[in-house]
Amino acid sequence: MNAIETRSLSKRYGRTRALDGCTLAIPAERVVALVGPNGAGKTTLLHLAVGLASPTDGSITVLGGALPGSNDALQRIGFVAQDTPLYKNLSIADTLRLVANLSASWDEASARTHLSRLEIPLDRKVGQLSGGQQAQVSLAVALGRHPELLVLDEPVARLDPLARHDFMAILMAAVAEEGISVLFSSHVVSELERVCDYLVVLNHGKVQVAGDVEELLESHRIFTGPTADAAAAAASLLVVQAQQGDRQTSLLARTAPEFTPPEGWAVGPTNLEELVLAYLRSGTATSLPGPRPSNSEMRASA
Amino acid sequence: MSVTTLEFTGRPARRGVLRGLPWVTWRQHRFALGGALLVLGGLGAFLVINGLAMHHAFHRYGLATCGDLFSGACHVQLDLFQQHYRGPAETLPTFLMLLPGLLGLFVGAPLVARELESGTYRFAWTQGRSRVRWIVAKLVILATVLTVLAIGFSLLFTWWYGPWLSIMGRMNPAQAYEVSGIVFAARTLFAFMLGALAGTLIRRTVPAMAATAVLWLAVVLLSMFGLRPLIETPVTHLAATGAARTPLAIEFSNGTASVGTVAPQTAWEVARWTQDASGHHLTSPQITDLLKQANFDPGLPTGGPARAAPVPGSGGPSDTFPTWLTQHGYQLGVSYQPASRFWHFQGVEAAAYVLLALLCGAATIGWIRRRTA
Repeated sequence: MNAIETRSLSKRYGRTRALDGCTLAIPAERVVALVGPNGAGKTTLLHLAVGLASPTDGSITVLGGALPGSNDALQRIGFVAQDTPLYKNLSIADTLRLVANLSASWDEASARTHLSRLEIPLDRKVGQLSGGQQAQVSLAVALGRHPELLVLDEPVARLDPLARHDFMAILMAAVAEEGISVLFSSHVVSELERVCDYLVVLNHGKVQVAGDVEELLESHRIFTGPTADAAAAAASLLVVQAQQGDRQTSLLARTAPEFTPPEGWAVGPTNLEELVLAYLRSGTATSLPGPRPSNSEMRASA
Repeated sequence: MSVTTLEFTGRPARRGVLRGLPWVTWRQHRFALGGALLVLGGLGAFLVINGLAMHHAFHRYGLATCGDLFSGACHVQLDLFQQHYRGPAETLPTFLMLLPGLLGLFVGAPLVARELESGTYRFAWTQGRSRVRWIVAKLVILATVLTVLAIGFSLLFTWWYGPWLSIMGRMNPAQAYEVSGIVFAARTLFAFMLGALAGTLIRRTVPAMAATAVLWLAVVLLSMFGLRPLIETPVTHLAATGAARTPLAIEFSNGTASVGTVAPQTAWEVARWTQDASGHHLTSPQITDLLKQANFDPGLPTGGPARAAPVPGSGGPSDTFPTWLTQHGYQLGVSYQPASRFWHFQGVEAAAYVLLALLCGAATIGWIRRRTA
């Protein structure tokens, strides 16, 4: 089952193309990171997935064919929107009551267990909490609904490193305990490897990379060699990004694992952060499942 | 830091009478509803206190038992009663008629606008219940509560206004008509739905409130002066030529003069005129000419509007000039909407408001269902 499936999904706001022909199949029971620069269309994609927006073109289904926004989909998806918009004038206890009355299924005990770890008095107003605490309350509320798919829009963007760590720890524990699928967006690319096992890179409304993190790391290598030979070496590789020095050039390229590098070139592994940055810098290179893109789409951008 | 949170773990939430979306609606709008109740309650308390005194005076002066209020037997008492209490009975309804707009403004406009403005719609609409159910529940519940409150206030007002029913009636626009009957409640419903729609489309609370105020007032004025006169053709009455004791009226206002006969006290007088033998209505200059011709001085009361009381046989132009007119072949006319038409007018107008309210409600639901973020 796929957590999210889109086909030529497009969304326009006026003349702005927020999403432009995205075709994706995001598998279920994975922790999926949706990364890209600000304005890449991440929020739009997530809003389409939870039914807050509807596509201009193309289609999107969730959790094996359900339509976003349908009662079925709404009940099976938990959503934590950007900046965790809770009602600031409600206390935490009232927020829980609100969700209990708003949602069809609700596990008060579970939510309170999550909250009890935070040691925040339940009668405190949400508006009085720190950003990190608000994010934690949002997460606890979302987990209390026992969703099959949890969608989070920039959940840690405004959190300090410690709060970020705590937040991800609770999220990962819930994933381990309940086996839920998680899709979260982020423009922070560090530490991704630690938390996600599937990656989608969105840039200018288009999908640039979509794949299993391990496979992505397997299939990308950094080749380092003399700048004089760079053009020849690049011709035999699917170069994502080239970093040219006076003497040495390093090429981040997509390759088969058994590929032997050109003579005089060293080959080494890459990491997810480098990989994401390389794709975002190149702007046009793509790495998508299914039919390989043609060679001409894979060109180095110096 | 308190760790009381642990004690709550596993304990089922308190359950009240309300569950689900009705509870959500109550929890999120109890301050708005409380404010509405406070305003209506405060004004209601004034009506009760003032009304008790007024009703008491009405009985003390013997107006309840002296028979025809406009006969000589009641004349002095009626004057006394009017002197003391007519002011509020005439002016208060003009202010009270704005209440529905205020209720719609403060309860309706923020309903969706605040959620869109603060981004909380992303929370409210993703908790497992569809946003269509969410908005339908909120609209239905709040509209019902506001309408019931408005009907209650209307009933209280009707009681308060009781003594004046037979003295000045409740047909005149911008007066008791607007607060009694069912128009008041229908307008409240319309204001609320209009506010909800404005908030949904404008997406910001304060501009939505301003738009609601302006639009609501425009519709109310339009219905008052545009729609209402069309509901039924006014009754036309021509005073018989030469009739000596016809109630007559002469009015000078900003240098223009009009002369005609008067409508029943409880009716809404639409127009008053003098017509010649062939049925042509006289213009103000023509009347002024006639006044000169009949040797009456038209120049006396000018400036502000002045209406000579229709007192038969008291002498002066209000008695003798119209008599002179009727003797010279002119007829005095009046057109009016009689008090008996009150419920017909109220029914038609209220139906129009309810229809508009339903349209606004449907548009709000449709808009939220189809396009939002």
